[in-house]
Amino acid sequence: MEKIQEEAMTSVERVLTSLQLKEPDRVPVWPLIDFLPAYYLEHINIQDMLENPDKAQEGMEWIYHKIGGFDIAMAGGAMYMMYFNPFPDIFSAYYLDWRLPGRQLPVDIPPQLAEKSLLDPFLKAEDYDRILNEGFFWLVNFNSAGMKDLMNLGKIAPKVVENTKKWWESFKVPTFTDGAGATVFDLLSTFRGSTNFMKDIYRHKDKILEIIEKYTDDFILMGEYGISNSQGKTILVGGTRASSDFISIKHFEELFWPYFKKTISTYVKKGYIVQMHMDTNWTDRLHYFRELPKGKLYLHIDERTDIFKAKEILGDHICIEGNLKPSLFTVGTPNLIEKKVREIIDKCADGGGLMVGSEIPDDAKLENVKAMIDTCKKYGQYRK
Amino acid sequence: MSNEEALIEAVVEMDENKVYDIVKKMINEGIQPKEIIEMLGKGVEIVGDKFNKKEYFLTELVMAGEIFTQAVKIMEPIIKEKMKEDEKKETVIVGTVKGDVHDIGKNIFVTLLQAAGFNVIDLGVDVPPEKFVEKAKETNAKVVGYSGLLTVALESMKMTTEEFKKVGLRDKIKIIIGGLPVDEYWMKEAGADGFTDNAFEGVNIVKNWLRGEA
Repeated sequence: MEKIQEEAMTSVERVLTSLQLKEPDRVPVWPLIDFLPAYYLEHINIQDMLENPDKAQEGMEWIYHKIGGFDIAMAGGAMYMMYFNPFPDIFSAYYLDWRLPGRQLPVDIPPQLAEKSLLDPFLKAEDYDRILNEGFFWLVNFNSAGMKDLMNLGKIAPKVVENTKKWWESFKVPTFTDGAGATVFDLLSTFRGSTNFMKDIYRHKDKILEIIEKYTDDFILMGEYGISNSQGKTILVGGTRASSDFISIKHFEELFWPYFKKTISTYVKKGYIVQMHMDTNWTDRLHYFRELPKGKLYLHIDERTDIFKAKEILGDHICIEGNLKPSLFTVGTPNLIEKKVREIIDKCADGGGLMVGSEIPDDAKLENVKAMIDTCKKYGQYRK
Repeated sequence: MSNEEALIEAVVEMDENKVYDIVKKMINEGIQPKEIIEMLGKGVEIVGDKFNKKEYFLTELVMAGEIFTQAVKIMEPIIKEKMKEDEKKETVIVGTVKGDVHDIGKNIFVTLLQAAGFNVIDLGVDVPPEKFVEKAKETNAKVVGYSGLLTVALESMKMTTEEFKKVGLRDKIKIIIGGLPVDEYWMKEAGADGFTDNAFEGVNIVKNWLRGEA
């Protein structure tokens, strides 16, 4: 085990300083690790990481020490709360066709979502009326998860509270995904399958809008369900399907932005630390994010959004993070990762408001993840 | 405006009911389905151009593919030689590789290939290497497309190419890989001939290989 090097600030201080758009001691670094520990540890598999909060916490702590410490972590059990969430959510195994490790998949394969979009969508266009009348609960299925998993939530929640506390108080490392929120837009797109949903935008736009209008407030409340279980402070709100990889600005303005803005602003008002997890390409609509509260948010982007543009447009408004290509951590080399991280630090670190990070594939090479962390510690220092 | 212009414009404007009305009208006027399909194809191509210029987005690409498919369906009863036509078309086999069940991009690629006049065999998701090979043997396909999103897909892509090598088919086919993470490195590792993260560009690569069109 590597001893974690002492630094001028704790991870909590460092991350919160960046969030407020001020310069911390160095650029914080955030590998978004889901199941990676299971790839390296004999006695912990992916099903354990998902369903066993003690083993999940052990795995996360192991990797934290193994690669020299990082600035944001996930509490053991948080993943259980996400996948066995009884409310309509993209990650909930009670909806859609989720295939889970140790159930439909071998114990060492991460959960996967089969959209079946063209052949047999989870939600049919004619079901929109039923959603308007009855909501979403009639869509629950027990194919991947059952009553037993639901009953287990009560046992898992206290473990999540304990693990969340441990990261914040003992490790002085903030957690992410204490709660998770979503927009009605993204949920409908996932339930219909994105291909069908894109056709619906042309064929049933009024109905979609009516559903979004009717349920956005309920969805904002559902995002707090995780928080009520974990007693944490962070909410992760995902957005994927309203980017320029999917829809026009016109549709973005009509169907997504006002409701996303309301969701984020409500969470900020309630005092949560909000992480916007925006996969796919948002470059042409980054300026909208200036309408959100200043100095109170993180924006995670993947390699499809231009981080240099994000710095230019949002640098004085929102803390940004991301742009590294996740597959680099599996197929790339430490040298290549160091080069990319240095470029991001060189161009985006000035004035604070930057975190370096990426989603980490579940079969990433540890030396690659470590290269990202070491580069931030070495080159990411702010000179006072 | 001629009927042809009106049809193309309706495709480009995503006015699907207008497209179907014009198609029905054209059939009544005795215009050959083959000509109508070509006109529809022109509309889809303009949509593709607008997509490349970022005037249109994936939604419009998908919708154009859908309008094309539905318009062809209207004509199906009168296209008696359809089956024979299909046999004459070049065959492309597409599937998401073993261990991966992501299919959004793959499905769009399939629709656009069909709009471009290819006979597409969609093997679905989580497709084992042997199934790709078996279908390629059976259909004499000249192009095979592997799709994948997860990093485990790279290993499956490699294995699938190995399977083609094992049975001596590798030199007889072109392999294109597609998906958000794929790049030149993936292409080399997977032993493929082309790669793309953009379904429309993928169709152009296939067109280039099979028809010599740029």
